[in-house]
Amino acid sequence: MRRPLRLRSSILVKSVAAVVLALLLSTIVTALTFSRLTRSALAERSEQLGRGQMSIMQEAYGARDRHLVSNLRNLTQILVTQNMFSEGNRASLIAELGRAAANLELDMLSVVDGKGRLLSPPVAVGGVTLADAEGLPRIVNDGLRSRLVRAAEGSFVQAMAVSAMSNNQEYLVVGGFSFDDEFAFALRKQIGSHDDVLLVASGRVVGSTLPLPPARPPSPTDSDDLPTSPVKVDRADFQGLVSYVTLGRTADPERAAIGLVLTDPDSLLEGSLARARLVATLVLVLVTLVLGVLLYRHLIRPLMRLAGTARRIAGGDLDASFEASGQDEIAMLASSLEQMRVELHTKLELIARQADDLQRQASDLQESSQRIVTAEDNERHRLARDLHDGIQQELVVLRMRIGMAADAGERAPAETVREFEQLGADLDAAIERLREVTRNLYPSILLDRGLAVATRSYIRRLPLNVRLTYASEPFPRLHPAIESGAYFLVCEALTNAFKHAQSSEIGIALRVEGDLLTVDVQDDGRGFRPEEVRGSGGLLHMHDRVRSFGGDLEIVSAPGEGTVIRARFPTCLPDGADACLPEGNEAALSQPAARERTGLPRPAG
Amino acid sequence: MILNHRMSRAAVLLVAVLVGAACGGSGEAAPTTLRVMMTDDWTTPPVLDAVRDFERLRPDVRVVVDKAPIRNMLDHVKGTASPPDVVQSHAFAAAARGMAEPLDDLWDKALRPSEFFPGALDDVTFAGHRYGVPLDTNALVLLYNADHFRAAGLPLPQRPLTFPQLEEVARALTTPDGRQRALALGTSTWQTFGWVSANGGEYVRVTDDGRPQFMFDSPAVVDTIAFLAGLVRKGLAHPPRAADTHSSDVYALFESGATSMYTSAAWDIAKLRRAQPGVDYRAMPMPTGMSGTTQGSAMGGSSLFVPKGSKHRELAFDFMTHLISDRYALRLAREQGRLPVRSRVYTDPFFEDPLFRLVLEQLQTARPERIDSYPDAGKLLANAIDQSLREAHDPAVALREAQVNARASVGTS
Repeated sequence: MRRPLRLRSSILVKSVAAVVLALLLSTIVTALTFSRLTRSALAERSEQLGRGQMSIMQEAYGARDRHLVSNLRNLTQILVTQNMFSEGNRASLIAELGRAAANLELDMLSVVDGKGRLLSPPVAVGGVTLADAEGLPRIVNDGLRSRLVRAAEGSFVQAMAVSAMSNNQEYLVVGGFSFDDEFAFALRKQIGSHDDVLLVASGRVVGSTLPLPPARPPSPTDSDDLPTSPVKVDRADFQGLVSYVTLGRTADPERAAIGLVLTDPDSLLEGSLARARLVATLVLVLVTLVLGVLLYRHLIRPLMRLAGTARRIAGGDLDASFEASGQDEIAMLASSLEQMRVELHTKLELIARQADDLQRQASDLQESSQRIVTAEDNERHRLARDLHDGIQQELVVLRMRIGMAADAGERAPAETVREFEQLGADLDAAIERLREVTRNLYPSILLDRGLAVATRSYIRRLPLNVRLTYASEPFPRLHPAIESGAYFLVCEALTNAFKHAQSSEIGIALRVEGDLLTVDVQDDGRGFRPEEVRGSGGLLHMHDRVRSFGGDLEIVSAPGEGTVIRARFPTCLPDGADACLPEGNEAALSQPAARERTGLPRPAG
Repeated sequence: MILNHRMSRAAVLLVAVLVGAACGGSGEAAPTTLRVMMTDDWTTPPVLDAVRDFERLRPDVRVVVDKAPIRNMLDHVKGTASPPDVVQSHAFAAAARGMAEPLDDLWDKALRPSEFFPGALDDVTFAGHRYGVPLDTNALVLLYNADHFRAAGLPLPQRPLTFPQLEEVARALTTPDGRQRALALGTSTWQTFGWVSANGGEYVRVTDDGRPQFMFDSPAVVDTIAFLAGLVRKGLAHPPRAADTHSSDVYALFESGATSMYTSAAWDIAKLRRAQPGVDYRAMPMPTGMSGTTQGSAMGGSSLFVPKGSKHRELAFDFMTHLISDRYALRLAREQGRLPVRSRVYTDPFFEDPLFRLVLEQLQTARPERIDSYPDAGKLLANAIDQSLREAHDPAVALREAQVNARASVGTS
């Protein structure tokens, strides 16, 4: 019977689980090591990168400064050369400034007189106007460097002024770039990273690339000091890693700085690790699945096939063969099992043949024994009949003639008469003894009335206290050979009990149960040790008699405890057309034809 | 066998789920960079805020904004080694030059053409396909300084002037010393097209078979350029300072008060109000030509397109639709004077402003300047206009020569 495959007990699950565990452990160890090393390297690299980006931004601001200085100086030179500051060329000056502002991408371009006042009409283009023109001389005094100045709209401009002398008048050409979101986005593009940029002026954020820019520059403290190396800030309006590079001079009232909002390397690492873990898990699962499939295909399935073949063989199908391809251990196992199966098959066939032979021999032996017993019984019967029909009849006739001679000898001497009478009496005794012998040889009542009646008749003649019991009245009739076998076994047992056991009381029990006739003979004699008398003639004869019918004999005895002999006969003969006669066939058995059919002799007279 | 099949199916399913999870769950992956090329006066707060907002909505995307002058934007893009993902220009011109990706499929998914002004759709349509998304629209009108009119004792114009009437007004607005003149003229083909269109002219017509038919030397064009050159010659308009004078020169003159009138669009209205809030700036429709029977103007505005070679076509389209969303369209109108391309945005009270209403009315007769589709011919025309306004050549001769050369440039005669 095929047992269902239990997942928990499957080699596949165990193997895969072991592989998964091993891979998992190695992945965890690798991930932890990798994480630790990477965190350290990433922090260092991030700081380097941040410094590099800061440097780029500072350079970008400086480049704008140089660009502004250079362009304003060139423009001023052109304006002076073309006498653009004269009153008559005011329109040309304005148009030239408009053009220059567009070409130089300036957000502010103005011309003011030496006191910082706008010319009339106002010459200012670029969309941004200064809030405080009085600051311009200070820009000039700073030399050729830009400064962050406040514009009219509250924004901030990286501005500078270039002085020009025309017609003995001083003019200032003032230009600048907005310090705003656009510059922040330009810086972000310039540093080429995905970090964000903050522009700080006068203590507030004036430009950024952040989606939600904070109003105040993010800093770990509320002071105006801005960190110059990456510092984590966790504020309601800002969370992140930020560092600054200050611009201009510390005394600058509009003190400016550029901030870099770095992507937290830890979060980057976490993201990378999460992806790595996911990929590792994926690979692990894939490897496990592939291993599982390979194990199943190359190990489990062949084993299951071998197990299935073994079950078929165990179920009796010796033709099922163990098959496995390849040259691996399973194939070797399959080959060995197949060899074992073939040998087993051969041996079993040999054993079967030998068993058949033995069976046949046993059967032959049993038949032979049965024939011997039957022949013996028949011979007894024949002898009894011959005695009855021959010597006994002759003796009876002789007795009758002696009686007649005695009657005719009235005239004979008394002594002769007495002699005849004595002879007659002796002859009667001889006849009676002969009758007794004849009955003992084969009682006709056995054939006519069956086992129980014959046994009762027999024990009545014995000088012993024998009690016969059987279950039903009348006791069922059985095959005559069985009945005679049982009958003579009882006689043998009674003879033994009388001769050797010195029994005072003997019990006989007969019963038919199913297809078995059981005969129990129990005495209260002195008993014996069965193993010591196993080869004695009487007991051996009883054994042979029972076995000849395919039955068995059981002897239970011990010194001083009496003896029980139990014989079990089959109710049918092993073979033969009339092996099993039906119940209630006494009448049939009494018919001559029936006697002839059974091969039994006619009953003695 | 059954176990094997089950295992195989389970393995395939598990792998599919895990691979799907791995691919879909890559929120920490390196951001995609979307490169956007805007014209140089468009990197303004509304656009940058739109960029910020787009990055907030799409954390996996970083938008890098570059800028270049619109007049040579297409040449600039063509010269780049790796094209940007979004470019602001005129999509029809880019398509005509084979530079733009067709976007009909994305339009079908995300946009409804019926919501857009027809003129705005024209700006993105070429040969029956849509190559971009309209960003803004505008039309040239005649801005004027009402204070100058009052100072000159002139009534404020109540209806469009003809070219001759304009010349009369210009004489009154121009001071004898010439420091303040009635007009300042740019020499770009687009600014000049406002006058040409107002006089019923066209630079180019496209025949049914898609071939250009240049009309540089047509009477309407020649008369218009001659009229403008006459204003300069008569001292009523500031002469161009140099070749290719563009709007920044003219705007500077107007803002400073050196000029009383100039042609511009709504973006300068917003700019002027910020720069000179105390000045009474107003606008009138473009003049009705030499005879007073024609109407017209140059349609302005721009559109966005995805250059061929972009690696992020769909993402670029998403950004474009984000930038033209009503929120930013309204901000661009309020803060920059860039008019929305969808009619529904005009329900906002902001558009009840008379100056903007006038621009909207002018849009009814404004036409797009199609010369951008033919850059070589456009340069020839610009040169002819510049030469004419700077009095270097007779307009008729210069334009005739440009006409002949333009035909040759496209292989027609």
